[in-house]
Amino acid sequence: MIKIKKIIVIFLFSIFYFLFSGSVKAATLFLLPQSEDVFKGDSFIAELIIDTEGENINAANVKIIFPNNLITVNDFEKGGSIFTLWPEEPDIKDGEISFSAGVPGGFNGEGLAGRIIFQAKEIGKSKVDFSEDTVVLLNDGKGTPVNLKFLEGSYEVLEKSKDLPVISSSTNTDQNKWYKSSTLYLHWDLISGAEYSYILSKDPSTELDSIPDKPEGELLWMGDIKYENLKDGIYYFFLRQKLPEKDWSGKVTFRVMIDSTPPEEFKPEIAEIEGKKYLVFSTTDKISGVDHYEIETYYRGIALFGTVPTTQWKVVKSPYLLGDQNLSKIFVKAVDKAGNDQVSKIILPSKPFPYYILILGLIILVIFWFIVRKIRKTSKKESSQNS
Amino acid sequence: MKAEKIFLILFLVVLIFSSPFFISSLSCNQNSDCPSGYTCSNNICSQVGPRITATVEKTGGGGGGGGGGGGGETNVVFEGRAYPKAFITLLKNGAVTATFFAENSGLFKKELTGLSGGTYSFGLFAEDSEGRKSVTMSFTIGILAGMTTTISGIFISPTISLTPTQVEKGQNVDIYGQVFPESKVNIFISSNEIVKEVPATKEGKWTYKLNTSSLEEAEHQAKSMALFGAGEQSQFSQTLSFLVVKPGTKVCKGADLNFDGKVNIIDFSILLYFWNQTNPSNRCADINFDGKVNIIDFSIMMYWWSK
Repeated sequence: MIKIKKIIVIFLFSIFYFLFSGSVKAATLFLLPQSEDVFKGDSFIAELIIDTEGENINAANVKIIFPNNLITVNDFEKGGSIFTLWPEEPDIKDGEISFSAGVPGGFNGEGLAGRIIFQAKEIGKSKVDFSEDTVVLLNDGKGTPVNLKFLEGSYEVLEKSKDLPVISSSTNTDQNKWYKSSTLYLHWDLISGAEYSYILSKDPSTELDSIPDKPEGELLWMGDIKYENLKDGIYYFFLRQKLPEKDWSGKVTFRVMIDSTPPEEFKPEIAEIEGKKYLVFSTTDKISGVDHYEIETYYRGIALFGTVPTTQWKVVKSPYLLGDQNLSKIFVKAVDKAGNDQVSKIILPSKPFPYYILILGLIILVIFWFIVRKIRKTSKKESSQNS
Repeated sequence: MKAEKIFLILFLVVLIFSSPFFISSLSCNQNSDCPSGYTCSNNICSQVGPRITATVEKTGGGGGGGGGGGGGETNVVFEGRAYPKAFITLLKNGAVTATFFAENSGLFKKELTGLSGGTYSFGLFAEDSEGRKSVTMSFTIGILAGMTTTISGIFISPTISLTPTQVEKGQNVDIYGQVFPESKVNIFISSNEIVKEVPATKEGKWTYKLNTSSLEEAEHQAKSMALFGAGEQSQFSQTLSFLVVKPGTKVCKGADLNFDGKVNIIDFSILLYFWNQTNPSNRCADINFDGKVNIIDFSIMMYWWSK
């Protein structure tokens, strides 16, 4: 109707704050499985997963906290990680796992950062969480930290019933180790009259049915199971036992880790750092992860004597100080956790041969020969004159 | 009578001396020469910060028309100065609520309709034609329902770039960006408290060549601010750093720590050598010059890694 014009002059000096006009999305760090019931004395794996939620990230500094009175960490495995370079290798101490890692060119999506192998020590509910120090940085050339969300893991350690069957393996003796062979032998002692339900699966959350299983064939079953042609990866053998007149028991797990693939090919480099010569090398292993590097060096001898290794294979870390050794070539071997290896060779540039010394020597020889000839001629002439 | 006269004169003198009119004609050399609430710009004391004005009028109107009446819509209109064809983002309570372009003249006007009455935090920032973003201008305002609130005088701060980020003493650093056409841009250089003024072109571009002969061999910062007409003033832009080094010293090449033209495992190794050091002896290992060799430098290296 009638326009009422109110003039209110507001001076807004109070707070001018800087809003980052970036996205309000947050990347998430979590463990998989997020929760699990485990038996005291058993080991179990929690995968550290990052979901970048559409952001492109290239580096992370992660600190994971766990109650080391209930669970301990056997290993933090880098095999198959999205990260390929580790300025700070995974360090496990006093209820904390920390590392710094990155990937050239960045990563966008959901991927594996690493695998934690926990050992269930004491009965109780253990929470595994991320420290507030944890940062993930964007692949933007500025190292801008991304908004982070954490989802904690919860693992309940239970008492293992003494009635449960105990699984062993002649091929994969230690559940915490990686093995090369694609053939798996498992064994447990059969109880007379008992039934068994079992399965070999790559999914740690697989449920067992109540239908009894038995290996096919005519041979008498002595509690042995054989699997052949298994592809690389982590398998879980789940077993349940039904004693006569009793219910099905709880699930027993036996973990099998197979890696028959060597680490990725790589090329070592010679680098000068602060005036000293170093050998620098790095590679990744997609399954079990690189365990260590070894080198074998060859001394630059004269070709007549052939070339022999100066040193036998020895375990080294990158960067490796070369110093002033007069080496002709170096072999670098990357060995993964299953013992597969990938060898790379680097030929070292030789110092230029001082050819001028040879030429000088030849000239001296020729002059010497002329002088000798001249002396001989002169003495012959003299002796023929005298006679 | 005499005492009253003296008192009146004293009163008038105090009034005049404390009036904005008087203060704003005070000359100065630095901010501390001015009373609080005022900064020294162009050697004259002026009021702090940009001034935003809000006017409120009832929505709807124009003749009788159309049955019923009662409350009109609640609208907010944003008006101000940015850069020619700048891409402006409007935030409402932290989330993007509208994006639009400024006109060729650099002026912009945007209406938000259908809001409810209440208190809102609005933010505006602009992206210039070369992809640089301004700082976000933020303010909180109470919006009356059924009214159209026009917020004007929004003067977006200039965008700023500088090159090179490392320069030998005596060489020039180019500082440039975009701003509202034909405004004046004040460039502030610290740690030496230098202020330079440059005019912006008709196209809204501004540029300044800073000679570093008078600067120390150290890290310095540059920021800018725009002035237009009689007292319209923007906020400060982002602050950018640059390093002045001794002539003849090796200037760092970003993540290429060994200057071989590649960013690879060798540079990573050098970075690791100085890992976690503060003010390392190889200054280049501290790629972002923040005094520490850490994960941020590593992240920058990952970005520039050679394919």
